[in-house]
This record gives sequence, structure tokens and C-alpha cells, in this order.
Amino acid sequence: MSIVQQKPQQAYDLSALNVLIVDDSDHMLTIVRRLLGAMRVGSARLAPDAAVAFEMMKVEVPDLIIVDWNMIPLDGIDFIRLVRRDEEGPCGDTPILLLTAHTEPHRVRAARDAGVNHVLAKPVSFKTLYRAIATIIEDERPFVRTPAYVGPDRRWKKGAAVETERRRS
Amino acid sequence: MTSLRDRVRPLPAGVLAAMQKDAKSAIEDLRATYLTVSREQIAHLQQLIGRAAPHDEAWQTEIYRVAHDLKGQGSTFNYDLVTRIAAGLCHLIKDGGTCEDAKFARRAIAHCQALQVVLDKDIRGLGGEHGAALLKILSIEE
Repeated sequence: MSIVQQKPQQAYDLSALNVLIVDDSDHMLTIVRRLLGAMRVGSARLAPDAAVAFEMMKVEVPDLIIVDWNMIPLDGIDFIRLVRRDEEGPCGDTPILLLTAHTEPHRVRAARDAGVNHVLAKPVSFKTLYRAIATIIEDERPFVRTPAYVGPDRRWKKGAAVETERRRS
Repeated sequence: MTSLRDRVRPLPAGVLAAMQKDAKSAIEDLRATYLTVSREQIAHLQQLIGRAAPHDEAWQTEIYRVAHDLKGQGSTFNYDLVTRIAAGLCHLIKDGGTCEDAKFARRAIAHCQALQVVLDKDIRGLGGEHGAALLKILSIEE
């Protein structure tokens, strides 16, 4: 029997990053901001809803957007679709990390089809958030812009089919 | 595509331990606020459960949102049992329960009381035997 050793987590200097956190829970905004602070992220701006986030994105383009799924009136998926579809906007291809306690496969697929880079299941911890950010840093997938989809290539392996496009035999 | 890779540089792995220590301390700083917010949310849930009909879509959306928030933060503060119990409550609500159904109301109140107990008794993690017993009473699979 072979033992598979997990690759140690690569550490990164994140001090040049400007992160925008979008969540309608004040407490959750604070938790994520503090965790990013511990990671020595350069700047973390907080938006209590999608509308404020769009205004903040115009003032300064973030390097990474962290958005919660459960928000009103626009939820995280609506927000991601608008960001990706806004061709004139400054953040069309900005990496987006979605936080959610909704981890059912159909919901993760919906997030992927909206153009998210990574989905992180709540509750968040230092380890899970850091790993998610490192995954986005190390992600080599190309960015795709087609009439039907805008976002990182939904296939993690070269040549693999996107699940919704698979033929059913 | 904007690449995050171009905006960061690798550091020695040892730095992560220092970051993690700071994160632990940051979460400890927020524990008191977490407890206050969670108690307010549990009280709000109890109000919603006790509220007279109609238990319409707006009512369901709100009660689910609060239960979902509790589910989403518990384990961050090492209250895994809060996350599990709140997840059980989310399932109950998603199954279409309304308080016009006496059985749903009883079970939902029991979940709220269990959440309160976990916070009042400061039961961390999954709470060992006591936690397992609590989940069993609430019919939540371990």
C-alpha cells in the first residue's frame, strides 16, 4: 500500500494584493478581513452589498474579490455574472472567490457556470482561506470569453469536457 | 486574465506558522462579538418560530438566512456543534416546514434551545459524548 503525502502549502507574500470583500454580514466581513490581515494582505476593502462593491471597484480595481453567496437583493451568483458580463467594467477578469455554506453539487456547478474561480465552503478558517487563495494564485487555466460563458476555463484538465457539454450515451 | 501570480512572490514555508498564529489570535479577539451576534440570531430565530402565521416565502427566506448564518460561522470559532445543529435546522426549513405544523415548530424550538445550550455551556468542537447525545436527540446524523 502506498502512502500519498500531501504537498506542503507554499507560502506567498501577499502584501501587494488589494482584496475586495463583499458580504452583507458585518461580522463575516470582519472575520475575513482579520484573516487576510494575518496573511499580511496589503489592503482589504469591505462592501456590504453588490451595489457598493461596484462603486468601490470603479475607484480602485481589486486584485481579488471575495464574495458571499447569500446576500440580498443581489446574491453572490448575480454579482459574479454582472462582473463577468460587464465588458466595459474594470473587473471582468478579476479572480473571484465565492464563500458559501451551500455546497450541494448543483450549486457549485451554478457558481462555476457564473464564472467563479474558486468556491470555498464555510465555515472559513485560516487554512481553508489561505489554501483557496493559493489555489487561485497557482491556477493556470486560461480565461475564456464566449457568448455563452465568461470566466476561467471550466475544465481543470486540458482536453476534458465541461460536464454540461458531455454527451449522454 | 489578471494573474494573481504576478502580484505575489514565494516565501519560506515557515512564514505560514507565524501567519496562522496571528489568525488564531484574531479569531480569539472576535469570539466575544461572535457569541453576542449568535445569541441575537438565536433569539431572532425563536421570535420567527413563535410569530403568528402567515409563514410565507418572506418568512421562510428570513428564518433560513439566520439559520444559515449560524451554520456558516460556528466552526470558525471552534463551535462545530453550532454548525451541525444549525445545518440540521436549515434542512428542516428547506423541507418546507412552517410553524403551522406543530411538529416542525417543536423541532425548530428544540434546535434553538440546543444552540443556546452549546453557547451557554461553552461546548467547543463537537462536544464529545454530550455533543453526540444532543445531535441524537435532535435526530441529526453524526
